[in-house]
Amino acid sequence: MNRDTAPDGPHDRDPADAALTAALARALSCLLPGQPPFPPAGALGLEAGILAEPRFAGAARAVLDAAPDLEQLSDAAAETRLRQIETAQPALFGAFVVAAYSAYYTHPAVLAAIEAQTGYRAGPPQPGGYQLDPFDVEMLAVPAARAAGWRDPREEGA
Amino acid sequence: MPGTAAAPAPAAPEAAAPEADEVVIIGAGAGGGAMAWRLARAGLSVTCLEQGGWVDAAAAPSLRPDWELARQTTHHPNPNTRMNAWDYPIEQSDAAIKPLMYNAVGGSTLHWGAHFPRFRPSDFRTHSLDGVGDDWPLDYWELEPFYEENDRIMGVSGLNGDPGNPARGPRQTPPLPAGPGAGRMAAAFDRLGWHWWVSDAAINSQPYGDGRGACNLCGPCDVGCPTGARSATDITYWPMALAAGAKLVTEARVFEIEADAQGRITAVAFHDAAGIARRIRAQMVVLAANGVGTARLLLLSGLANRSGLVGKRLMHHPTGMATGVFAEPMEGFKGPFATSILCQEFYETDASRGFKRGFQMQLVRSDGPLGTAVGVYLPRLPWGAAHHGRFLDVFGKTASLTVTTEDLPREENRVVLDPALTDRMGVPAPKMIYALNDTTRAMIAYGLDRAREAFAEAGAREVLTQDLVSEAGFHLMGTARMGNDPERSVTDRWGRAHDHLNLAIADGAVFVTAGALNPTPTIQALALRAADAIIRNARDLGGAA
Repeated sequence: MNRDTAPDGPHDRDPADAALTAALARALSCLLPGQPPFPPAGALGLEAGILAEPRFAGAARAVLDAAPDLEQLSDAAAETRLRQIETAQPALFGAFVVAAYSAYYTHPAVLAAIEAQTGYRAGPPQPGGYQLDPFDVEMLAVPAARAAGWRDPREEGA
Repeated sequence: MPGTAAAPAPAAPEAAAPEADEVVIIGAGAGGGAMAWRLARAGLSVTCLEQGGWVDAAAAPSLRPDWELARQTTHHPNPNTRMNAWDYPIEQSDAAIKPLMYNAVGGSTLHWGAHFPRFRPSDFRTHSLDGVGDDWPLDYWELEPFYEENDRIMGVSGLNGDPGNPARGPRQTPPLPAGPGAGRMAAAFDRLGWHWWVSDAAINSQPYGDGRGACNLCGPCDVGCPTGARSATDITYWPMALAAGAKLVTEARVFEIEADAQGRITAVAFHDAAGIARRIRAQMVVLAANGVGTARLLLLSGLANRSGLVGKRLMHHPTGMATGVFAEPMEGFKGPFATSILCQEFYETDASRGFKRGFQMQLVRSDGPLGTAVGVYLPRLPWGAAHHGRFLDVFGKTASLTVTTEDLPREENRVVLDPALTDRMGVPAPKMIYALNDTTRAMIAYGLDRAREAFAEAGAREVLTQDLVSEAGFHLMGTARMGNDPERSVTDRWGRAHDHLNLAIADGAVFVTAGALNPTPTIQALALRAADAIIRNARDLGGAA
């Protein structure tokens, strides 16, 4: 799911695709409903990327096939429906959750919210890397003073 | 299944396969790279056939804001999930631990955490010392000089003086930074009176090696290292091997090793990058395709199986995971994810624990946001209204201990050829059949109790555990064990097949037992030692069997 090459949003798709996208957005917001400053997953336009990623699309489509009326349900009923699917098909639903989390937690708006809340840098880890204090050899004073803790088979005739 | 994603573009020159060569190596990973360099340096003419291609570390996903997505897709450690064009499928429905590996020049050293411990001397004598497993046909001391040379080439950060292991030569660079999590846990281990030491890591803490920089603590070593600090054989052994004259043919998918009526290996058949079947005649063949790939090729070829043990005795390192959640930030996303400190207090047998042999506890750091959510070290975070609060509750505040156990060999754990699944060239795929026994489960349970004890001592406000990490089949061992008895082993003590004296194995398949420590230094030391045996016997190449 390369963001540079993922298909555009639902405005470029046929009605069937638009319905699929809307249903997926509904399911995503059930999984990740948002809590300020975190946006709801269904508001981020993640659907096209998930459906374009072969490792994610199958699970997403299968879950939506199992909940064809998701958009018509109340929030509570939609969550209940998804939890029923999770119970009945845990591996499939787990794959869908991974797909949803993967799209959500690599979206710039979500990373920006995490940065604001925790100080974790939203940008890539390279090339900047991070800083930590050098290893303090004094830490090893206690374990270095221990007796030998390995067995020498030669001393045991093995 | 695999075969849908485009492979990265080659980043280095490729060789065309010759029609014949003195030695043909299959696989350019940890063992194959070491073998190729050693043989080429000695003047032997070597061709290596590698299923994958070159990976350009300068294009690593860690340079992109959505780098964590790669771990779930193109850089997932499980080839069945990753589905890259260089991969082959592995049937895993009967495997409690799923296969993790990488297919490229450098093999799984492109995709590892680079934790680099040596086996302990007792690992080679489990039967004599503890009455379990089997003894190796060699000992630690015989392997020691090869460990040392391998360290020099791969580059190891760490520190001598660990009373838990034999004394050894100085590491190439000082220890990597510990970080707050390791500081907390080290102090806890001290108060508990338990062993711990700074991890050996094949990661430069200072520049070392040809053009290799120092680690800048970015975290995800497994998706590639643009600085070259994290060692891999594509930037260590392979440049030296190529300079010494070795030839490397990429995207060459071997499907058969051919033998004549007398059992002498004569040729290797492979599909080239265009899918065309080709063969290369060889006086000597070395298999270095990992514990699954090597078993698959031997089974496909019907070779080396007088003992009936090819594919059997598959061993992993069954791993439980305990994660402590602290009130304050642990900054675990800073620093190499897999290495900081390790505890070997429970490594050797203590009959009072109710099992023989033991485990290591390896302190791993933590993850980025996505890794935290999908649950690599922690269980997966719940979805729904509670999700965001739980994320903020744990993110950046954890440290984790693996409970990595010794997996004693059992013949029912095995690699076979799947009757239905094939790779994209129609060649039968391997199937892993693997289950844990009660002893291993007891060992993990005991280890998780100790990990809880350590986190409590360290002041964690919550400890979460996983009884078995299923996506942990990164150490693939034992499927063509070495030994002195041709009826009970596949290769001799030099890694040479009992049944075919011009066929050798240089990967984890030859392991007799698994230890409870990461196997790559041992794989590479064995490969260097096996190479020396081939060099000594070079005058006999092609005529031995």
